[in-house]
Amino acid sequence: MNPVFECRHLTKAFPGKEALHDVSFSLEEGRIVGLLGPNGSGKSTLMKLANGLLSPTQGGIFIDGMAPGVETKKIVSYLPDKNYLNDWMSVRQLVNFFGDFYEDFQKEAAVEMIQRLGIPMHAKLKTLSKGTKEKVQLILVMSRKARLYLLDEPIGGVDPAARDYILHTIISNYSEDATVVISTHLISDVESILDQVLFISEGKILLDSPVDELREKNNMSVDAWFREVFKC
Amino acid sequence: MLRKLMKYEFRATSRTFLPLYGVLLLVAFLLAVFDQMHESWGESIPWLNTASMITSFVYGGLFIAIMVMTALVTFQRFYHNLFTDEGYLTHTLPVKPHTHVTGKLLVSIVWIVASVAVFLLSLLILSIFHLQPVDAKEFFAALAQWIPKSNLEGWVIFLELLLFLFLGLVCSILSIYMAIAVGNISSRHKAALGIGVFVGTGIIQQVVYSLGITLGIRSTWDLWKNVPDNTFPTWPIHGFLLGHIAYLLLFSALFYMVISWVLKKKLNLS
Repeated sequence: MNPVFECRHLTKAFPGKEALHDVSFSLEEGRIVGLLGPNGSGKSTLMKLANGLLSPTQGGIFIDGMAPGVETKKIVSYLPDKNYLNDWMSVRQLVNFFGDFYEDFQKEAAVEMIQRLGIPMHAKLKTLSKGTKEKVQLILVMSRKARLYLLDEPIGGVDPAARDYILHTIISNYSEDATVVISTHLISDVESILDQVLFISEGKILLDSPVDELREKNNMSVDAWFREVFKC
Repeated sequence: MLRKLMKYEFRATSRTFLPLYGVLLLVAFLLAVFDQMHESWGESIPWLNTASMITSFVYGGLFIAIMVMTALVTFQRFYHNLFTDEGYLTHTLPVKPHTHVTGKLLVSIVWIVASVAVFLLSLLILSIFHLQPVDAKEFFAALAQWIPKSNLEGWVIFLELLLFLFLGLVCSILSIYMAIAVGNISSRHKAALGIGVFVGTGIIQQVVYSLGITLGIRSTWDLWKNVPDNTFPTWPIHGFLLGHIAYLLLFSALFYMVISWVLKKKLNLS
């Protein structure tokens, strides 16, 4: 059985900067993994490579043993760190859009979550507040029964109450055999739901450890250890 | 998947085109009404001349706007949807890269043809109050003369001509798509690389075209010499059209493959 997400000596270079250097790790199914690192450490670059939005300079990246392509896009649900949906579309049109292209999209579940938040289905995305847009994006992404969820900074830029809602949505919609990778620098908010952490800095993986092991070994929370490792 | 992509592409672009088409036809009708009023009541309506003049300017402006928008939407949609933030959604759909290209190309062609059709319709509306039923009969009779009657070769030439025009459009659009796609390989010099590719491709196309024409003339020179006086063989028309079709097919296929390769192997959405 292939790991659900694997990197082998992955390097990604841009002019004047190496965003990822010789990254290797593998993630098994059924884990919630925190991809933790300061701003500019390579978290978003790694997620974009996994989705085929960037091409590797060297090495390989594999989803269930396959290089990013049409087959991996069917099993990966990705939430980028920006508003990426067509904002001229209404919420209902976006739900139908996801339903049209993704076989694993649970339309009824998405509609129920959206209505529970009091978001009108006919509202155009551009008329919604930033936080509400992010919630709609998250609902659409988590309403897919994917094997791998890649969530890039899902709680950055929203208020604490919205963060709780987002984390609750992730946990309640994630199926046991799926893997969720959450990239963030707000560790204290996500620590309680993580099974495994990857620390990344300047494009290199510094640490790959189950959360319990890390806490036991260092006798401190992941957040505290992160501050220790990355202190200026 | 192509059908679904085209559905959403039409939905995204019709928001721009349909209102413009509607306003153009409305303004054409208004102009026709003013023209009729002018004929019936002449100078007795003081504001009529001014209104006609302003409406004519608006009509002309709308015509130019539709031409510009058709070109802009064709290429801007390709760029924004595949190489900017919108690409985060586009490229994470479980769709092969070349399907995106096909979808956008076909939708663009539909809008180009629709823009021409709407413009012709507006011309018809402009003259609506002057048309008689006999005019329609004469128009369709004249049109029928252009369509080959029970002549297989005529139909073949007609179809070759349609294919030539269609491929001409396809090749032109794909050459600009390719320039945009290749330009985006560079992180810092997208526009310069894109323009360079467009100019370079144009030069290569001209060279191949010139070689093709020279070869065509040389290889058929003896045939020309043996054509009896006052006869008009159809093989030169076939040769001209088929030669151009082959040329356009070759370059269209080449551009399509390069664009697909860039989207598959060289995408760098940052």
